[in-house]
Order: sequence, then C-alpha cells, then structure tokens
Amino acid sequence: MSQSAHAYAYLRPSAVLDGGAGRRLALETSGGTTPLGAAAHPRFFAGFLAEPAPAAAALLAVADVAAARYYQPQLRASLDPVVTANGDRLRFESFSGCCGVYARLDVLAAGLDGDEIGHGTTNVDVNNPLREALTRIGPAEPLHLAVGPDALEVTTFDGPVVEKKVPLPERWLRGFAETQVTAAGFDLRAELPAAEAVRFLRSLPRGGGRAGARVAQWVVPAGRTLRPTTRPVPGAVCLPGPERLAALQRVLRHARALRIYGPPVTGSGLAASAWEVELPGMRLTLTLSPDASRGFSGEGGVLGALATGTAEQDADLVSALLAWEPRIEIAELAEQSGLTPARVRAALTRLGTAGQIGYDAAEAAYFHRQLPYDAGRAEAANPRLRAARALVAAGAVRLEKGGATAVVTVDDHVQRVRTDADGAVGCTCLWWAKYRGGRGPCKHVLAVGMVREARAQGTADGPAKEAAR
Amino acid sequence: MSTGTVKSTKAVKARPAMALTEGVKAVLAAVREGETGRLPGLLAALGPAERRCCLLELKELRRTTRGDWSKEAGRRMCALLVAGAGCHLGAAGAATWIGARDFSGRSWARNPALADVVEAQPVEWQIEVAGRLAAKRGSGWSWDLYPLITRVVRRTGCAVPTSDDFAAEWLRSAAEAENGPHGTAVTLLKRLRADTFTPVLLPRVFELEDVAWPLNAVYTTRSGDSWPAAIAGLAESGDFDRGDLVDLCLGRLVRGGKTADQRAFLTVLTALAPTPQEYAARVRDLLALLDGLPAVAGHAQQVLAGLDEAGLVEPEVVVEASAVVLFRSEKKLVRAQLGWLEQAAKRSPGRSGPVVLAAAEAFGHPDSAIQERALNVVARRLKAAGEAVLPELLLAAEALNPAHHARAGQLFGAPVGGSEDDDTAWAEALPPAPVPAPLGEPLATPAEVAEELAVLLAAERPEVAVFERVLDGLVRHAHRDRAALVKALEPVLRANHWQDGNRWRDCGPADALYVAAVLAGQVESSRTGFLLRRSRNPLRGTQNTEYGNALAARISEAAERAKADGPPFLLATPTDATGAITATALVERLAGYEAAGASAGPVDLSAALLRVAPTADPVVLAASGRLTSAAGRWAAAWLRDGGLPAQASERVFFAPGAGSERKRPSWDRWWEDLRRIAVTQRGTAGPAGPARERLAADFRTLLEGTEPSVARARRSEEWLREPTEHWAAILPHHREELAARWLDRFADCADRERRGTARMLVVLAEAGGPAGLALHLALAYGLGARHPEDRAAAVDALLVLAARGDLDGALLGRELGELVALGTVKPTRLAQSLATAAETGAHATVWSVLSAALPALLTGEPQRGTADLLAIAADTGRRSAARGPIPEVTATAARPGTSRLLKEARTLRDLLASP
Repeated sequence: MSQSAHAYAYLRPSAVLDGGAGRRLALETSGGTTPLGAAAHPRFFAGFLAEPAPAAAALLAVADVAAARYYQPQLRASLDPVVTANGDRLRFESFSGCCGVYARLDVLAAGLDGDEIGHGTTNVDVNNPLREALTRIGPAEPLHLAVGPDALEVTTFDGPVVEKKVPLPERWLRGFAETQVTAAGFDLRAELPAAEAVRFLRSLPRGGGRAGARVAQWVVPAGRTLRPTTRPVPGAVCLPGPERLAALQRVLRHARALRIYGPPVTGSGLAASAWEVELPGMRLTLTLSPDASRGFSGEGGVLGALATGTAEQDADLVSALLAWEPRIEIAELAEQSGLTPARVRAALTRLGTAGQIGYDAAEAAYFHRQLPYDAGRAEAANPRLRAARALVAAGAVRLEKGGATAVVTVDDHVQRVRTDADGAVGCTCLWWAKYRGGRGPCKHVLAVGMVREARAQGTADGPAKEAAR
Repeated sequence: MSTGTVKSTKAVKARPAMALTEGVKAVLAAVREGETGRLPGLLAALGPAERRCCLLELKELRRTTRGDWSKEAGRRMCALLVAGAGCHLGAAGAATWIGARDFSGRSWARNPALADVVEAQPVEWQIEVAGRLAAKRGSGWSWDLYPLITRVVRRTGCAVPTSDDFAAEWLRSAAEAENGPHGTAVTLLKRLRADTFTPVLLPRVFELEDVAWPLNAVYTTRSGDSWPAAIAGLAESGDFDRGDLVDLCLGRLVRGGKTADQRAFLTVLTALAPTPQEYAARVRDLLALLDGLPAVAGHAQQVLAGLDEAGLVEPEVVVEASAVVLFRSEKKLVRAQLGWLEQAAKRSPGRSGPVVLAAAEAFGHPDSAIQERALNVVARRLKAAGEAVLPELLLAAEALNPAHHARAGQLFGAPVGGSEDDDTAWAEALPPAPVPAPLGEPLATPAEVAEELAVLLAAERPEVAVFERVLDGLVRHAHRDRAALVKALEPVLRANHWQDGNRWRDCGPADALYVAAVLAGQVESSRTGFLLRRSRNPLRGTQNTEYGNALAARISEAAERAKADGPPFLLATPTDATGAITATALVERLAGYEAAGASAGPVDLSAALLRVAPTADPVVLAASGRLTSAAGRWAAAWLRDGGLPAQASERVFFAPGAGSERKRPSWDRWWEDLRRIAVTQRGTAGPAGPARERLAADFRTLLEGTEPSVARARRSEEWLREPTEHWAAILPHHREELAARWLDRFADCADRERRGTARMLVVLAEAGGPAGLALHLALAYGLGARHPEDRAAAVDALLVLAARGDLDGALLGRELGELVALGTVKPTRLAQSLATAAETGAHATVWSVLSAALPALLTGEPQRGTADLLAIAADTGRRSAARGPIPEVTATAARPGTSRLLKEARTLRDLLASP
C-alpha cells in the first residue's frame, strides 16, 4: 500500500495554562489554509468556552478517535485532529487509523463566547499532558480557548518546537474524504432523549473482536428507545461494530439527546450510520463504516464521478467560489457559477474526494473545508480506478451488439457488463456479486463507462491517452 | 529457484578476481560455511577498501540465500549478518542491514560474534547504529537487537534511547535478568538503583501501552522485587522525586487506557501510597479518576472521602464528586457515594442542603433499590436541609420509579409523578405486522440470469428470492434461447466450476449451478438424468438432510427438463420471499402450461402445491375449476379442499436420563442431562389428487410424524442440520410443523448454549399457518437463549407474532414458567429478553406472558433473576392496568424479609390489589 509522510510543525505543544486571568486552553495549529492562502500557524478563535467540562470531554472524544484503531488494533494510529473555522462555528474532525470511524465536534456559536470566529482549516496538536489537563477540567471554572497563536507570539518564537512526522496512508486520506459522500445520503432515523440515550449507549458491548460480536447488528426505533434487532426491518439503522461508539462514553454525562442518521434500508446489506450526541452548544457526531473491517476508503461511492472527466472543470469553477461557508447553498452556487444544480452537486462530490467538502447531517448541508493534507491525488490513485484505466488502455473492453452488454477480457477470462435502458448496471464478477454496487462500481463497470463516454464524445483514444498519462 | 542460484553464482564469477584479496576471500569462505565464530578475527584484518568490496559480495550472497530454509542456509544468514555489520562503513547502511527482516528470524542478532564485530567499529559508528536500531519497531515479545543496543549504550555512555519499544523492552528485560538461571540475590529495586537507564526510562514507562504483564509480575517474595514495589522503593530512597512519580502515575490513570494497564498502574499508585497531604494537592486528578475504570474510580472515591473527612479539601468536592459518581451505573460505587454524602451531612449538618440535592442525582439511577436508598438519605437529612431545597427535589423526583412516587410525594409535600396518566394511558406499541417482500419480476435477460447466479454463488447466506429467481430464470431462458443463455453464463461458469464427485455437504441453493452446468454441457451425461435413480444423482450425497433432498429433487428435475422438453417456466417459484405462492398466480401458471402444451414436472407441482396459499376467493376457485390438465385438476381439488391439513402438536416431556442407551461411549452421552418440554406430531402424507396422485416422495418425508428422541437430538447436533430460510420456504404455511421438527435446535440455544438457530424464529413468526405449542415452545427457548443475538431474534419474533395477533401469551408464559422450573431457561436471560420487549412499549404483551409464568416462577426455591422478572412484571402490569391478585405473588409478598425479590413481590401485590 502506498503511503507518504506528513510533517506537523507546531510553535509549542497545545496545553492548558494557568494564568492570572484563569485557565486558558491553547490549541496550537500547524499548516493548512485560510482565505488568504496557506498559513503556517493560523489563528481562528480566542474567547471563552460556554461549557468547559462538556467541551473538554468532547475534544477528548475526538482525540480518542484520532488515536484509535477499531480493527487490527495492534497497529498504531496517530494523526492529529483537524479544525475548521466556518465563521460561525468551529469544527474539530478526526478519522480513526482503521479508516472506519469519523468523528466531528461542531462547537456552535452558542458554545463560544469571544472574538470573531475566523475562516480556514488546520491541524491541532494533541499530546498526553493536554489529555490529562482536559480530563481534569471541572464544571465550575471558566475556560478560555485559543485556536492558534496570536500574531505577536508567531513573531517572537524562533521557530517550531514541536515537529512530528507521521505516515499518511493513502487509503486513510481517501476514506477521510469519502466519509462525506456516504454521509450525504443519510436522513434522521431516530432521536432519543437524554435518559434513554444514556441507557442505550451504556447497553452496548464494550469489547470487540469476539466471535459473537461479529454478527451484523441493527437497531430500530421503538417507543422512546431503540430496540436491537437481527434484521434490517424498515426504519432500522445499521450498528456495525457497536464497540466503536466507545468514544461517546466520555460525553454521556453531558448528553442532551442522541440523534441517529442513516441511509434508507435496502436489502440485507450492511450500511454506514452516524451517531450524534447533542451537548450544550455543541454536537459530537461519530460516523461508522458498514463494518469494523471495512474502511470508508473502499466504499467507492465516488468512483463513477471520477471515472468521467466532465465534473473536473466544474469542480475547479465551484471551488473558486467557496470561502469556508458553514452551509453550502447549492442553489446559490448554481446561480454564481452558471451551472445547473445537478452539475454543482457532481462538482461538490468531486471536491469531496479532494478533501475540500464536509457534510453535516444535522444541517443536511455540505460545508467548506480543506483538509490540510495533499489529498488531491489520493483519489485519482484509487486502485479500482487505476485498474479500470489499465483495462481501457489494454483495449480489453468490447461493446457487444445492441449496446446493452459489453465484454471485458481480463487475463484468461471474461466478464460481461450489462447496462439497462434506465442506466442500471451489473457485472458477472465476484465483487459485483458480493456487493451488487453497494460499494461502488467494479473495475469492469468503470472501464465500460469510460469507453462509452469516449465513444459518445467521438474521441475513442481519449481514455487511452488519459490512462497513459 | 535453482536456476536463479546458478545464474547469480556465474555473475559473481564473472567479476574480476583481482578485486578479491585473500582477506576478503577468507571472510567469504567463512560466511559460506556459516562459521560465524571466526568472523570477528577475519574482519579485523580487512581495510576499508576490502570491506567495501566484501560487502558487494555479501549482498549478492544474501540475495541468493534468502528464502532458503535449510539448516546450512540458516548458519550462513547468521554469518552474513555478522560479516555485513563488520563491512558497512556507513552507520545508516549498517543499521538497515542489522535490523533487516530477513535477519530477524532466529535470534541471530544474539550471537556474541555480532557484538564483537560491532565493538570493533568506531565509537561514533556504534552510537549512530544503536540509535537507529532503537528507533526501529520491535517485534513485541522479545527483541533480539535489544542486548546489542544496550551493550553499545552502556559501553559508550551515549544518550539512552527513549523509543517506546526500547523502554518496553527495558521494562521486560529487567525482569528476565532477575529470573535468570542463576537466581541472583539482587532484587529489582537494587538493580534499578544501579542502572543508569532508570532515570531516563522509568518516566517513559508511564507512557507505554500493554505493560500490564511485566508490571504485575512478582518475581520473588522479597520486598522490592516487583515493579510497583521497586518504584515505591525508588521514591522512598530518594533516587526519584516522590512527587514526580505520584504525578506521573496519576497522570497516566487520568489519561485512561486499556483496563489491564489501568489496573497495573493502580497497583503502582497504591504501592507509592501517597499521603493525604499529597493527595490533597492533587484533588483535580482524583476527581477526574471518578469517571474512569470502576476499580480506579472506587479508589479515588475512597481517598476523596477520607480527605473530606479529614477536612483537607473544599466542602464542594463532595458535590462535584457526587455529580460524577451518582451518574454511573455501578451500584457499589453509587452506594458508597450515598454513604459518603450521608456522613458529610452528619458531620456538619450545615452541609445538608447541598448534600440532599447531590443525593437526588441518584433518583434517576436505573436500579430501583438504589433510588430507594437515595430517597432514604434525603429523607433523613431533609429536616436539616430546610425547605429551600424542596422545589429542586420535587423536580428530581420525577425521575423516580413510580413505585417510590407516593413516598416522595409525602416527603416533599407535593404529588410526584403527575405524568402518571401518560404511563397508564400508554398504548400498546408493537412494530407494524411485516408484509412479506414480493419476489420481484422474473429475470428478463440471460445476462441478468448470469449476474444473479454469480450473486447466488458469492453469497454466504443466499436469499430465497435470489435462488428462486435464478432457478426460474435458467429454466425460462433455456426454453426461450438456450444458446444465448449458455453464452451469457460463460463468465460465471468459468469462475465457478461444477464440482462433481463425492459430496460431504447438504444440497443447498448454490447447487442451482448444477442446472447451468448441465445446460452448458459441462456435466457428464452419465451424471445427468438420474432423477429416479437416487443413488447416482450428483445432488444427493450421503450427508443430505431431508430438506436438502427436497431441494435436490427440484434442482435436478429443473435441470433435466430444461435440457429436454423445456417448460416455459417453473410452477413452484414463490410470489413472496417467505416461499408462498398466491393461488391466483398458481392458477395462472397452470393455465399458461396448458396454453403452451407443457406438462407439469411432478416435483415442481408438489412443491407448488405445498407453497400455495389457501384461498376462499370464489373467482380464483372458479378459475381453477376451468383447468383441464391432470395437474390443473389436482391443483383445483387441492385449493377447494383446503390443501395440506395442519398437524396438531401434543405436549411431551423429554428427559432421557442417565443409563438410557448404554452402548454409547461416555463422550456421546451429553443428552443424558436434557430436560425439555417437546411435542409430538402424528404426520401425514398429504391429500391425494383426483387421479390418486401423491406428493413427491421427498416432500412426503418432510411431513412424516415426529417425536423427541435421543436419535433425533443427536441428529440435530450435526452442523449440516442448521435450518435456513430455504427450508422454511418449502412449507411456508406450516410453521408449526417446522417448529416441531426443529425444536431440538431451538432448545440447544437455551440449554446447550448453541449459537444461531434462534434467528429462524423470526422467519417462522413471519410465515403462515397456525402458531401452536411447538412454535411457542421454540420461542420460549429462544427468549432464554444463551447468546444475546439469539435473544434479540426471539424478541423480534415475539413482537411480530404479537403484532400479527398470533401470540398466545398465556401459553408462552406457562411454558416459560415450566422451563425455568426445569432449569432449562435461566431467569436472568429471560429477564433481559422481556425487558427489551417491554422497553419498546409492548407492555400488555409482556404482562400477558409474565402473569402466566409467575405462578411457576414463585413456586419452589426462587432462582437468581426472579426479582428482575418481578420488577418487569410490576412495571408492565402497571402500564397495562393489570388487576386481580395472583395467589403465588400474594404468598411471596407475605413472607418475612427485605430481599429485593420480596420487595418487588410486594410492589406487584399492591398494584394488583389496587382498585
């Protein structure tokens, strides 16, 4: 598996400092972008946290997910959380090392009391002394929060004193970006009041990996609570690997409600789901992949959009119009860019794969952020996409008479790809047989799509050239 | 492999021999022979140029030796490791060489020659190499490079490496040396005091993961000979700052982590035994620990209570601690906290106000007894607290269990539980009765058939819809255009070969592949067409179950007919996923056969008749009367007469006991302990047709009578006999018959802790036909199943049956009572199941079951968990407005004592006696 490295450079470690004016939580920043361009140590906010104890617990939950691997936990994961300032709120995001859990803490305006909130995205440092200090924070005292050093501090420091170099796996980046695409298909499925939420979350198994816990789990809203069930009845939400919700235990005491989002139930397939705990002035959301062993990176929800070249220019156009909006209004963007809403949506999907878009299920809207990693090429190097390009380049795709079916020759065997009049596709390969498109198209379907598109444009050698690039 | 070796040897020979001096040749010879011991001496004689030259040869040799697992190759690899370490002039290259994975196989790095060779290198080189090796990841349990690095660091006095793996290995190896073969007299404490690594690495220990094992190990009984004792010793002797160690340990506990690690560091903390003053300076740490692991939280709670008693902390600490602890679910911690609160109020009555408000947090605790205890604490301190607290207490009291509402109302001077009306007005909430999913349109094109066949073969648990549509699609398209079908199937048949030969498994849905293989001409003609000669039918292995045989009959008939006369489609394809066919659809299909001049396959027809839904619709019956073929007339008669009659279940007690069937070996006597309630059924051959047609033999077998026996219990034990949806779909309107025949498997879930079969309860609950004793017994076993997912499935089935109006709560309750009395169903498990059902709002359903079970539950010695069942009974009874005393409850309630069982019985008695 290919992976590059990422280097963090912080002016100093993040810490809780005791000063004359009470305690200050100073979160240090490294890299990222703001509306003014790339920044080394951007500053997004300085002011008070309205609810220090819940905020500290929720920040720890985000840090927990960043440091966790819920599958094959013997491997290590240690990437720092990402913070985005959207003008009216701060969003702390992290993604587990196993690529299966995405956590986001939205600190809304009600949870903050201070200066203007800036715009931009960066990394924040999390270290052991900070974790201890956050755990110690009591309910009573006010807590000042600063995200990023102020301008004076930047000039007086000689240079970064905290430098971390960590591996940055490509699939981790892809998964982080792709979570948004999955979440965009979610709807609110259930809402539990605090007492029921606590009871339900406490009833979940803590340990994972036992043979018995590997059974697919579903929950269905019933009465005021959720009932575990063994099958995906209508209205049910998939809860794969419930031990992955462990990070929510930290904020249980402060929870006001639990909201659950998921896609509509189709067939018996596993599905992703999002679990949102409402906190005073904040929302903490964990999004789980369809299986503990199945990261978001392999879900392939965006491959179709990437295989075709049309969305690329639209994406460039749309990205120029984005400026860290907390809610992206598609109609507005369509007006500004002169594109149809459908094309804007496709462009946003494509931007999502480059880490430039997040999705907030509670608001049912995209928001702008730019992951502080070089994410642009990660999706383009998707193994399935690469394989499809290779098939096209090798001339393995042959459209059959009538156009409804195509034969793809792979080594010594063939696969037949079928396309319905209404655009539904199918393939005879094992990947398709297993997931039936639930994890994105297989390489054969992608290759046939590329050839079809090239035919339609009348440049039969287009994809071949692209593949050669 | 051998050719590769030859080639590279040639390449070596092709190089100018002049470059190899005598010294290099000697080293290479020693390496080839694997004589590692001679290498330090030989290498010492080489100059820098010679070493460079030698290294090239070594690299070549390493490449050819890699992957060879012979003993000689192993010796050679060891020699290569040592020689390479000596020949590398650059430290980076040397570290890569020494730490390479192909050298890490068999502890070669522990060879003393390696240490000698490394020692002969320049000091800067050694330091650099050691540093680089220490930064590499260790292998976990033992790290062969550790002694080498340690030796370099100790000898050169360079900076001690601080990587996680190095620190962890130091932690482990400190113990190993102590436990060595000579049993040295030096304790761990003494060793640590002398060790120059200790100041650097001991603080790192508090940051490591997975260190519980070395930290917990006790090497000898001498004091200071375990890690916690040694760390405490270092603090005592002043080698380490005591305050720092306490901070490190508390910090680690505050950060949290794996349970085992947390426990280990708690041991370290208790060994350090901080004084009250030291603890008092770290109150925030202690408060943070209250949210941690129960053992850690308990310790912190104890310490804090002690500090509070000694007046060393602010009085508000108890309030803050209570907010955290009383929210926890562990009863022990909550009880201790309430005790602390009461003590605090007793010592200084002025604190009563905050104390009662803090105690009221526990009103929302899930356990009713804890609520009562909290109420008692509040009641005792209420006078001292004054009236100001009453409004807040009243608000908190709303969270109390309704059983305590009256008392709380008296105490706080205003009625509590104004929302009581909501509780009793709670409508019975059941999930909507499921509507069976329609099967979907027949597969329209050969390409779709191929795709679905691939899906069928790839699925772990294929759905009924997929199998039935594939089987029908194969027949349908073979009739329409066989060549096109075979062409479309080609990719799938290439990836999935039809395996002929001896079968060790049951015939299952994946055997639809046989039809495709026959159509494509991939099955030898001697293996086809044996519909009647069963012994040679490739789908009928010796391991087949009777359900597998029924499937095999359908599949082989479909294959044979699709190849020969080609019926236009199949009759027995269900119209919904439970396997049922609507009468309308069957009549239409038979009419279609008559129009096409096709004859019905006997197996296909039998399967279709067993699946057709009974109907009284005169239009359908009239349409069936117009059918003229033999098959049509039989189907018409079948529909008119109501089809296959339901079999009645008769209750029997099955307990083979010891000594029956003496001839079995001791390991095959597990069934001697069984004590089960089971059923017998008489069996039927099904109604004959107008021309004396009978159902196909394989289906008649399924309908034969059944009764519990050791033979049946032993047969059910086989893993092949795991019922599937496909089995249930054979008899979609006869779930009682299926439940009776699978009862052993369902009972296994409860009394033999088998996993999985209970999931079929939902399938049966959604199927058609009367729900009798057998199905209710199966459900009873499922509700008492060992594994949570089985109980979840049983709860699903219970709610579905109730929603469809098929549940006989009294019958289920009586049998559950009996099964608990027999010891087959455990009350604790049953309580979990019924609590889940009740929480979702099915109060009346759960009460109907429990009220019938209570007499048996309360007769005789009550088992563990009975109190939980009584609590659920009281709750669901209250919400469904149950009235009328149950004698056993009244009798239990009248017994003297204060156990939880008796308290719950009294609550229930009072409820049932209320007007």
